[in-house]
Amino acid sequence: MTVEDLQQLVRWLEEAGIGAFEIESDGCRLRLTLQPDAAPAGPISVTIDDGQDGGAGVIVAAELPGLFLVQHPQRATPIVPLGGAVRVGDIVGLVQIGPIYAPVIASSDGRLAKILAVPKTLVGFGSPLFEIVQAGCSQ
Amino acid sequence: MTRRRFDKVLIANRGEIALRIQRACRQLGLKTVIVHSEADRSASYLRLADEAVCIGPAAAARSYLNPAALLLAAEATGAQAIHPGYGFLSENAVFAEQVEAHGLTFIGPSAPSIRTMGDKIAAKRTMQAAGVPCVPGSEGALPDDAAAIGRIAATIGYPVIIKAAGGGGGRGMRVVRLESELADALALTRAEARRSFANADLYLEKFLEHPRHIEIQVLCDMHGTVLWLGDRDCSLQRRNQKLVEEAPAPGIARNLIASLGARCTEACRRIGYRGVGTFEFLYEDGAFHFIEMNTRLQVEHPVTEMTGGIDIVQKQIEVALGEKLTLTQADVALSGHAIECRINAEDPLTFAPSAGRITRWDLPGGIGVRIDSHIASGDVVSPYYDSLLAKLIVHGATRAEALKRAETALSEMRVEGISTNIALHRQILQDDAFRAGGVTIHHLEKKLAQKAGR
Repeated sequence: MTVEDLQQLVRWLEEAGIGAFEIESDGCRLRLTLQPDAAPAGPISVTIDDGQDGGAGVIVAAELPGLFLVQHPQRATPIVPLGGAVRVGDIVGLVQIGPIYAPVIASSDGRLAKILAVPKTLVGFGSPLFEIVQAGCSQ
Repeated sequence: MTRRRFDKVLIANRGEIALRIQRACRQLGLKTVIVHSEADRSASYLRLADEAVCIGPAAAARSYLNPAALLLAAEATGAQAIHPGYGFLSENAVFAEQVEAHGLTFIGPSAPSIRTMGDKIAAKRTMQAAGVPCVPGSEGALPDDAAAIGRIAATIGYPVIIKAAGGGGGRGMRVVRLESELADALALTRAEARRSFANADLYLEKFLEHPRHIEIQVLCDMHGTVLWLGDRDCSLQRRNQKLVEEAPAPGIARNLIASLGARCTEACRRIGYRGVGTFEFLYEDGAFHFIEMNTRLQVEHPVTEMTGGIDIVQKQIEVALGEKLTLTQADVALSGHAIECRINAEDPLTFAPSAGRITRWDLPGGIGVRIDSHIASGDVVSPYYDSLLAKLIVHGATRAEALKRAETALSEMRVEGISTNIALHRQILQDDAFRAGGVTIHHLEKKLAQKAGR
């Protein structure tokens, strides 16, 4: 992979509004994080209210199309287990586009209550992936 | 069996043309991915694709016009070719280059062809060199010197029209009838050209007062075969937007059209054109004048399909696959007459787009009637994109038979929940001048102004 390749990738991902990404190519892995002001779109989140217990969940949605992953292919365990605690900015999943692993970022503190898409299937922009509930809320 | 260049096509468009391309891919045994925005997420035509993937929000700039999102979607789905349809990125040379640079096939002409034809000055020079007739005008871009421009305009003779080299589709142009208006019009058009097209070059042409819009469809493979598939008359327009198209153009001698078609194919050979394209002309007083070439599929391609029996989209994809056309010019035979009515979601009086849920969608049928549409009853028409709901295309052995079929078909069509221009089409078909054939590009606007009492 050349510097020009990297520059091209950065341009693509900036235009697509992604804050960080990983590349696997020729046995190497590279992870880059863009400055916040370099990524035009932030994490997509929608607050939902199930109307049952007064608790509110935050939906974390995909920012771009790709294969939805809850664990890195080279890891045996999920990035965050179901029910696990997360903080704003934590990586909770991945969207794989060819050699690129785009992180799915938690947009709220809480615990990972639900996985809303089927892992290893194609998701698109805006597809709901996770639901995060604030600590103390039951779903 | 040799491996094909691609077996999965990403359709980078929406609406009726996405479905039209999907059908052509099916015919060729190709898998399809249709991309869509969040606004189109529930569109019924998406279910017909092998895969549908959302690439961005409703705003076209972040979805259908976002090269990065499209290339990522191709990578994510394993599509090896991208069909741009019409509009959006279909005539964007940079996008075509990006697609090819990533090892994918752009189903369209090469980026240099798109670039040459996108620059109206370069396009006109190329056409003149190939013997294609052009409107009398300036030699290349206008100089900065106002006095020199004044002399050019005087030589051409008023009225003249100033055009932006990067413009097209009715944008970036201004008519000047008097010498005293020239300086202001130049300044305005140059500012608009710089702002809208990132190219401040202007050129000047004789303004034709009563032209018709006639165009020639071409098809070229990568093995030297260049064909013209027929002519179309697209003079029925409102604000430079075509409303009714027909093939062949009524009342023009076929030998004149054949001669024009031959010159268009010569131009294609000179620029090494591949794929489908359309040469647009103004026709006045028995003479054709080149306006521009569209380096993509046209909305109105079905009227040529109906009269020539050739699936233009399928041929376009076959050419992109690298296949050799088995047709020769002698095989291209036109039969009968076809008319297309663009059914738009719009207010019948104000022409403002009409959005909302379609509660009734009854389509016509019968011999010689074709509907190209992505709509189903219950679909929601969003306010974000163009208002084209359907293309009603009719074919008859004669123009009179085609007109009758169009009338009957429009009378059967029922759309409720939103407003459409079906009633306007029915009025057009009763218009004496249109029925006689050969109206000018100003005809519809004049009729509408008369009706409105202006």
